[in-house]
Amino acid sequence: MSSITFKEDGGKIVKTNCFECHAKCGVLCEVDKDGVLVGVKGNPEDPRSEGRLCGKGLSAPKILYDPHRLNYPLRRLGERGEGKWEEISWDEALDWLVDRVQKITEEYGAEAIAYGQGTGRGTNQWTARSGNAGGRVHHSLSPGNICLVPMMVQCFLQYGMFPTFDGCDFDNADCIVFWGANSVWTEATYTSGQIGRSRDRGAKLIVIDPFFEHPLAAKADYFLGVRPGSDTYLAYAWLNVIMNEDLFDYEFTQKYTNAPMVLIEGIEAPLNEALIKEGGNEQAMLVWDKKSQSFVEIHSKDIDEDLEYRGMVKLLDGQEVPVKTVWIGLKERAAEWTPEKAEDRCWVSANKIRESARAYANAPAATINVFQGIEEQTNCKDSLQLINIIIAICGNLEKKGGNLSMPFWNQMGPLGGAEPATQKELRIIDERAPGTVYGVSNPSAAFEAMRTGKPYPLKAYIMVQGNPLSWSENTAKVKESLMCLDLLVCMDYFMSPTCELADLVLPSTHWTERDYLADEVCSEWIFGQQKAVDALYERRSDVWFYRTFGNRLNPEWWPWETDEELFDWQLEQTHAGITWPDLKEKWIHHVPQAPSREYQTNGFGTPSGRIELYSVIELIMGSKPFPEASEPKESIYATPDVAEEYPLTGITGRRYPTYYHSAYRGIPHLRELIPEPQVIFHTSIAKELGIEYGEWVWVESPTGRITMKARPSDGLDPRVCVIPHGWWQACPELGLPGYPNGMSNANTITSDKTYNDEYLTPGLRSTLCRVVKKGGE
Amino acid sequence: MSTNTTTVHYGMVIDLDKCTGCQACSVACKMENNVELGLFWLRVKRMGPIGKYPDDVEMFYFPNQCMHCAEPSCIKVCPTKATYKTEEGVVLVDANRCFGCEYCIWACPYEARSVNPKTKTVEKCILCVHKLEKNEKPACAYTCTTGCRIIGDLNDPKSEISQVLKNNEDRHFTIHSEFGNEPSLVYLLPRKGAETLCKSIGR
Ligand code: SF4
Ligand code: SF4
Ligand code: SF4
Repeated sequence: MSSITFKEDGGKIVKTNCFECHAKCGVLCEVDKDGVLVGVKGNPEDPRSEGRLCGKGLSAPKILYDPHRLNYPLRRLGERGEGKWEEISWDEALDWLVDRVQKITEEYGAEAIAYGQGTGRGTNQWTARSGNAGGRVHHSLSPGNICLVPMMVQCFLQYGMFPTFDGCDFDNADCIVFWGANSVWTEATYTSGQIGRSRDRGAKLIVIDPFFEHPLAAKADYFLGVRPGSDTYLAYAWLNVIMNEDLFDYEFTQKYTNAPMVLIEGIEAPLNEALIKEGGNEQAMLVWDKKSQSFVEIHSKDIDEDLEYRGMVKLLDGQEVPVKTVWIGLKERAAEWTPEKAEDRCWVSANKIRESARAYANAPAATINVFQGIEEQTNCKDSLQLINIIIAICGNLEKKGGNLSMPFWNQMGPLGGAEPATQKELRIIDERAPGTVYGVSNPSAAFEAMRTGKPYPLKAYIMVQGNPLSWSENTAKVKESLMCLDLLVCMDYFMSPTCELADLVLPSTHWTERDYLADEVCSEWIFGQQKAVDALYERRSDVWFYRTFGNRLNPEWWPWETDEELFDWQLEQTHAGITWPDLKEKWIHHVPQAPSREYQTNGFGTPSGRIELYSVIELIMGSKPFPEASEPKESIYATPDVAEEYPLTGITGRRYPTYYHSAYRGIPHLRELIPEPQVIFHTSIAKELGIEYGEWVWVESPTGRITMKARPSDGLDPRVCVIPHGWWQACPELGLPGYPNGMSNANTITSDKTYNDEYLTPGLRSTLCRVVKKGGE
Repeated sequence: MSTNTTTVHYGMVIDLDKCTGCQACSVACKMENNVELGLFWLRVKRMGPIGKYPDDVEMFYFPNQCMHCAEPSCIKVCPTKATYKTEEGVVLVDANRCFGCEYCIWACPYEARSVNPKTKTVEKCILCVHKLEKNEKPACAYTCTTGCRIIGDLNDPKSEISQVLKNNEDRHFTIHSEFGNEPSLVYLLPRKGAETLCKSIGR
């Protein structure tokens, strides 16, 4: 069936995919005979969304034709941020840009340039490629540290695949867990329809979230109102219950995880073959085989691994050392975290911890969906690792109704290009966090380099769909940094606060005006996301820009003459098994599954071929191989002195179903649904402070202060407050204001002082703050 | 969806247990029917949260629109007969006859109607009759991200809507039944988390 249906009246229906957010729902675009997009609705042939479509996607025609869209390349006249522009042609824009980039490269080196994005619009790999092109670091200055990288990479390290996002098999699960995730709003495609069906057939629902206004909280069989950032304790307490009550999947744990791997006690390093056998392989990890009563290499077949082996081992050098298994190591750690002890720290009752852990572990098949509530924490590595362990030992990996690998994540690597040889040497990090696992510069340190020239000058920042004045922590500092640049380039839909400071602003095509591939977050499918209408004005596609610009600078890295050639290369690299012309014609294509789907034969893509509860790679990278019961670096317990003045734990980043981060406050019929920024805190606090519903209040932190309207609620702990992000844009049609200078921007108050050691993640979801009544105003 | 009998009675079921308050229906209605800014034929209201956190709180989302009553109080008060009911049970307003007296707004127990300040006539959900005529679903039901809206013929025992109603008899929720309007829009109660809240709705 062709992807375009022509109608008798000269119009057509085009099958493509929405990109108002990353979920990329399949849609039918209706175009009239004059080439005008008149409507967008869901395509029932998308096996994920089945015709459902959210409010953002439905608004596509309004977003396409919005009068405030950027339409022409604009070059700055006057001072930075003054708002004076000249319209120029793309040719001129590209000539000028290439020249500027070359001059900066000559003067300061390629490392003086950063490429970046916010969410990107499916251009992650091209941002990365620009950053790598030429084989020398150009910084990739993107919010990967707060979005998907921690959960994805932690999964890769432990599982060799990524199953906790679009790999949640909601439709077949007997128990569904949303852990710091509100995917029914944020990834509605493959979530919201499935959940209701599953609940109809009796699936249990567990929601772990500090906010009862999570759309599933009231419906959940267990709502665990966890303190923001305390998920490590909760996860350890779950493990405590699951291990002590023998609720885990013994066979899977024994055969397919590295739980039986033997460690030397004390240093907790693997006992390798070279330590005990002349000429032994030091890469070979060992397990105790009960059958042969000997240590055997962990890949060995037909063995009876001892999960609970413990003993003394004589090393080649004559030393005798005590050894134990990973399983024992984990069990000892979990033993410390009884539900009662965890209750104090995570504010969830011991009973509920027990019952929910049992409900998850006893379900024949259960799936856990993780997201940014866990990720945007300074202890994210530990909580992610713990959750991954829970999923694994309960036997829920690569199981129907559990967490399944999704092929794209394993295939995307080559698209960004090889890591430059200078990656380590030129990386910008500082004492705040080493970033042992995520090898890029700390965005915050890179912004600092813009201001200080240290450790070396960072002079240019080129971004597609990026608005760091919304996404980055401590945005006042980011603004100062951007003001110091020699070159700032933004490609976007709208004149964002970051665009306002730019030297060059480039107009992006809307997804209905561009051809592209929909591959990431598409579960088992790939889609031809073809355009429905011709591009308006001088808007160009993000991919076109990266490719054309890249081609001028580094043709060996950007050899493609047309977008179509690039798409074909992309399809080839990701082993999609189809070419662009065929995909465009077919619209949807099922891609081959990852080898771990047949793990009984193929094992998992990790060093041991098993799921790594104890992460050998993290040990090598200088991180901790076991998860710790860690506290966020800034919290009421970690920094009580700060908490004395700022007693509330603020969660920033709570989503709206009709906005995508900071996008679409300017679209009138979306804005009228949610017209103003509201800070949500407990009714008792409102009473105490004498604050009424709808009153403008201050939200203050050690980093800064913003103003939002008060919305008292019964749905959260009195010690917590919820601060939505993304407020900058005005909606002139409704007479609703914008919020300049970060005055209502959640990231004005988030801290740039502490970061996760492994992933460089700031604690956006546990910001110490306070709500203050405005005096006499 | 429709049957070959002449006695089709269109109705809709909204399963409040499934609704996540995503507002897609509300936007779909606006887009489909070009509803003026500031007017809503369909609103999704958040009810709650109310109670004691964390174990004794209730909340649910409540999509609110014209109930296409079998015994509509709006029709009774309309002096010009602008408001009428089709043979298939859909309640409509003939804008040519309406002169904006707003009696119907006061008469409707469900806050379903509003005046368009530009045309000075009363508007409300039309159950996307233009879609029903083509055997298509209303925009809200088509797009609903959770599939919690079922449209169909209440008179046909084999229709999906009748089946859903039959299979969920314990959860039927007719709001303000005391007015005797007999709404054709039937809610299904949330299975959990709204026990006392639902009782208070509309009061
Ligand atoms: S969920 Fe995302 S992709 Fe799907 S319709 Fe909404 S905005 Fe578009
Ligand atoms: S809900 Fe109100 S407007 Fe609709 S039919 Fe009933 S009484 Fe009339
Ligand atoms: S679209 Fe469906 S789930 Fe979303 S608010 Fe409307 S009725 Fe509820």
